[in-house]
Amino acid sequence: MRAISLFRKTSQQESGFYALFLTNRLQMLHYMIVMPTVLVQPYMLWVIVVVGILSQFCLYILSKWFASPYPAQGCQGFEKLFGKTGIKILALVSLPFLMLKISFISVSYADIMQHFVFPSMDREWHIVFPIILSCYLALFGMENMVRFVTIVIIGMIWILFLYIPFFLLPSNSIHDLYPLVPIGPEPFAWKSLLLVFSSLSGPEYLIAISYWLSPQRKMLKYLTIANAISVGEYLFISIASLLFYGSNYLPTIKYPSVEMGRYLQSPIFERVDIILISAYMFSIIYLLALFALMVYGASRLLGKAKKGTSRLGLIVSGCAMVTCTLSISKWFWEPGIEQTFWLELQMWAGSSSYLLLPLLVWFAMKRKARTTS
Amino acid sequence: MTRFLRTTIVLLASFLMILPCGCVPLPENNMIEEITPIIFWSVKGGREDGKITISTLVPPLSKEKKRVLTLNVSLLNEGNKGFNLIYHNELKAGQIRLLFVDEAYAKRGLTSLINTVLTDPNISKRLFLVITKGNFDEFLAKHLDEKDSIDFYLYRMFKHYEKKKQGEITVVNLHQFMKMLYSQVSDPQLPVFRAEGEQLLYEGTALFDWDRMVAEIRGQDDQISQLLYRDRFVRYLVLPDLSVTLGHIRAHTRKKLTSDLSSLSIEIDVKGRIDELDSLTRIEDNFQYVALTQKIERYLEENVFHLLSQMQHLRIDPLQIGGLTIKPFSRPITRDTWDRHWSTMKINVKVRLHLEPLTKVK
Amino acid sequence: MTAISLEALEQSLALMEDAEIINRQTPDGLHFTFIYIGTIIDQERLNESIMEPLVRSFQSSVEKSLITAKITRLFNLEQALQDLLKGSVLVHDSSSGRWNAILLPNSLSRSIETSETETIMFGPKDSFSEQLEQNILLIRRRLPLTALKTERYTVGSLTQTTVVLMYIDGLINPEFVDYAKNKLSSIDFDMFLDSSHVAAFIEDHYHSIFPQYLQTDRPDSCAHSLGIGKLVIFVNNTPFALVAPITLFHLFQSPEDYINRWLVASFLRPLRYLSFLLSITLIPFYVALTTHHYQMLPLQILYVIIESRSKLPLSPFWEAFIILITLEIIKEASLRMPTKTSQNLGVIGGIVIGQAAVEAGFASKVLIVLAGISAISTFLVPNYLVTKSSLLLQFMFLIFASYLGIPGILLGLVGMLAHLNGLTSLNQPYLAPVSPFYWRDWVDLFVRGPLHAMSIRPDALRPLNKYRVSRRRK
Repeated sequence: MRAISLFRKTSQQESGFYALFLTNRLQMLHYMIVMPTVLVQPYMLWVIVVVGILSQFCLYILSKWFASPYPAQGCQGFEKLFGKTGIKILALVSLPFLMLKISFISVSYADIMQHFVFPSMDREWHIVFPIILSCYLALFGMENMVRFVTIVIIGMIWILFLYIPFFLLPSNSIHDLYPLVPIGPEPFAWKSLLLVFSSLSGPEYLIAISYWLSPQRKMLKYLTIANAISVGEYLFISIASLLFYGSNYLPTIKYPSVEMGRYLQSPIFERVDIILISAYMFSIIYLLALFALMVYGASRLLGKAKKGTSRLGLIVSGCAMVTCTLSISKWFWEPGIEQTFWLELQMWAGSSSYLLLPLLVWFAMKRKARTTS
Repeated sequence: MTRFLRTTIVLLASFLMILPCGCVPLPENNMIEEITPIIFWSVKGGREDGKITISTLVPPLSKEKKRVLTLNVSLLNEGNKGFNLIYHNELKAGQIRLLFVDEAYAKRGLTSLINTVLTDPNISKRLFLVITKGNFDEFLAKHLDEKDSIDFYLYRMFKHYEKKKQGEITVVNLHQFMKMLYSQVSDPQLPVFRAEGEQLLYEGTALFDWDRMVAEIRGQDDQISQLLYRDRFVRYLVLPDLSVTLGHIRAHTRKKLTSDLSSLSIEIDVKGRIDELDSLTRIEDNFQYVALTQKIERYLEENVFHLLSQMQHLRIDPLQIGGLTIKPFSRPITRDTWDRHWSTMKINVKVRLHLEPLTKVK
Repeated sequence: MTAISLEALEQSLALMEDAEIINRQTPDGLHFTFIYIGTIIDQERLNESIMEPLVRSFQSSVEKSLITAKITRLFNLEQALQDLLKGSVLVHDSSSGRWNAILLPNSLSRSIETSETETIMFGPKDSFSEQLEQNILLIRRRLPLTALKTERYTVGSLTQTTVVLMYIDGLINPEFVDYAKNKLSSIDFDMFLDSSHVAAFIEDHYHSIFPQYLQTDRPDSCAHSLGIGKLVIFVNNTPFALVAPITLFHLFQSPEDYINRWLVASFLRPLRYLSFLLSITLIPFYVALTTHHYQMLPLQILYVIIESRSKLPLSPFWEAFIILITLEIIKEASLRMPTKTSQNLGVIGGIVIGQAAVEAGFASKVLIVLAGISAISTFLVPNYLVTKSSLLLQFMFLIFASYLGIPGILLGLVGMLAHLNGLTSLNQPYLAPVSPFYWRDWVDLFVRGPLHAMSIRPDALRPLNKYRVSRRRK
């Protein structure tokens, strides 16, 4: 049996496309979960555009990092930038963020699964199965994982086409998209701005895997395209749901994007939502596997990094993920206050990490440049 | 390590093999041969004790004798539970396609019923809602034959007319009803059928104020009102008063509101053919043709006006005219404001006919 | 090293009924001893072109008497025995005491026939046979290049099978050649009777159910593979050559793709992927829908299924399981039977059992129809090994479907893709132009683009010479 090396890298391949796909998938992760609570009014569509521009700013800083020589050196690059203790602190700080994201995503997804597909099944099963599979996926190592994103994209791209019929319904009218500017007594919703920003967050995790992305100067181009596609997707689905429901009915629906899938009928299947939710698993499992590897990587940095990687270590990280997620789902996920608490926590955590992490790396690079020159 | 992995895989595989036999974390049994998916519910209110009567038809198989299950309950799902207790199969609501509601019940408001239906994640939003008159259970009782699957035929009828948005009968599903219900300024509508012995006759369209049925338009009025919706196709428009039948009608309607909401002008372009004429009427030259056309135009205009003023009188807006008040850069108006304006609005109707005569006109 | 002596040879050849030792004397009084194994040499040629000229010649040595034959001097016993077993005639010249070997193998072989496993309507019809030299000839005719290198290896302690590694030097990525050489020379096993035995020892993941080498007996597809930068491994005594590195997508490509009009081929190729997907998921979908998701069926179909299932004794999973197993028994049986019997078998299996199962109320009509469709879809995949492995996949999906319904099927699909993503063929990724992503190769992936658009060799193979056209396009 060959030596197991989860974090090995063999080929030097032009990989702007991976960055593109990864950014897009990371940003679209939340569209089923978060979108409904945000896009209640038509003028919120502008929020998506504005936040998209803001996220472009973060990606711009991120691309500075990719253009620097550090990512190509892997772990040593980080060591040079932050020092040995710096890395440990970073790893320690990133762990709760990762755990929160993992738990939030898998519990929310399990919620959707339970609500629409198997109402009578315990939610915990819907958490356990994807995580087991994502551990299996993660066992193939980081290089295979990064490659796998193309398959995820192919497995999910067709979902968008399902929403086209909603633009062609005869009961649509352009009046459902009015008013385009917020006029009214309600205060401008800062929270929704934050929520959209947090749902566009995620690309900051590319820093951790930048070694496998073979960074280059052109990265900004790919990141921009990815960001534009994500914003476009969010806009596309939001407009479709606004047209379909109207701005008064929409706030009463819990998961509009899924409910819309339910409305579709094909000659062979009805209730397309079951297939749609299941296909969404591609993204969930993939990103969980990615995060599992990151968790393992981070905990290795905390411990003795010199020892070789082992499957057992990854499985232990997977078990930690399951334990954390299950305990949240079991004891702290009452509908109402606790769910909104987690949503807000994730919202703050996501937005702050998306804003601060690129900035932190950028400042570290600046400082390094000053000290060395 | 290898042996450990191999053992795990073998154990896992055998574990998975055993699971289909029984031990599944899924307590619900949806095995298709053991359940009876029902296709419709018929709900009837108006009893003295405030309870509702709910009935359905089982089994869905076409080769078996059918029976009507009826229960008096106070909650919809209580009926569901009750059905399971009196029938040998478990009844499942996941395939429900039609909801017949009695007129008397609809007049008291549909909200509670519809909320129950909406919250069930198994029920599709494509559920057709229908108002019934007369004794619907009796109608069902006459269709219990082995070869008869009336529930399916009814569903297929709605599906047929829904598909191409034909204006032959009004077809509204749950989603459309809810969207109209929630819309700030418009009101929903539903089809009305009358059960008479073996027959279920289409009678017209029920108009709602919020969730309560308040009026009904029938026959010719119903046909004319179909013209007012966007791009509907009406196969026959029978005008007995003028002894004319128009066929293959496509209407294009433009509605315009003045900015102060004081008047509404409706222009309807009707394209179609004269399908049938009374033997007394003749169109032999252009003059006669134009005269007839004008006569029909006037007649339609009067009727549309009449229809609209009826709606104004009831302060309802099934045509979603209020939707026109929403502008890109202004606040949407409230329901009260709209009702105030709507009830006093001046209405101008203009109908333009573009007809093809049956014969050649000199 | 043992010196050659007649006694030693006689001892080695004892109890070999077909070994012959013949002494002949020339008119000059020279003694020649011929030693050969009668079954593996060409006896007629021995008489005509060696014995007769030698015995009648007046020359003093073997070399001088037989100027046309290729004669090897032998110095030790081991070599002598080896040559003997390869079809040489050993000639001992008693006057000089020299031992010579003259290669005279019996060229008993099939003629070149049409490929039976990969039949096509149009295009070249020749196929490989069991004889290595003939197979190499078929390739050399197609690629008359000095850069077409052949390297010889001998594997198998018992079979002493010759394996030839073939590639175009200067075009193929040298990594592949090194890797294959490494693998070939490290083989340690006794018997290699087919190329798949060799493949089992040189593939990276022998637990996987997906073949990592393409076995083909078509010289044209081998030549094509060589030309785009792959290597071919020939194994003696088998008509199937191994092509590597391959990807999953190569298993779905047929030589006919490049013969059809490109639009037609682009229509047919997705059809193959679709039918593969159908063959592994159609019945699982049926099981998932009837066990868990009755809501997903349109009303008309629901009626049909409920009616056909209403009085069946088995649950959908077991029904499907038993029908599939039965189907597989019939398929396997008809494969082992002589052609005429297998036709009867098909009739009995298909019509009698299927019809009777439905009439007896043992299986539903719908399932029989679906089983038929999925069984036929497996035949659309050109590669026979994939057809066989799709069965196992189908059972895996069946279990997932009966357990978790449609999410289960998707879980299985993700798992399968994860496995495929981790596979390698000749140390190259198995899902190559998709993962890793090489967008230029997509012109010949799910569709078959026009040949004019394929002016570049696949990026995924990283060939040394990228361009297929002489004029380099910028």
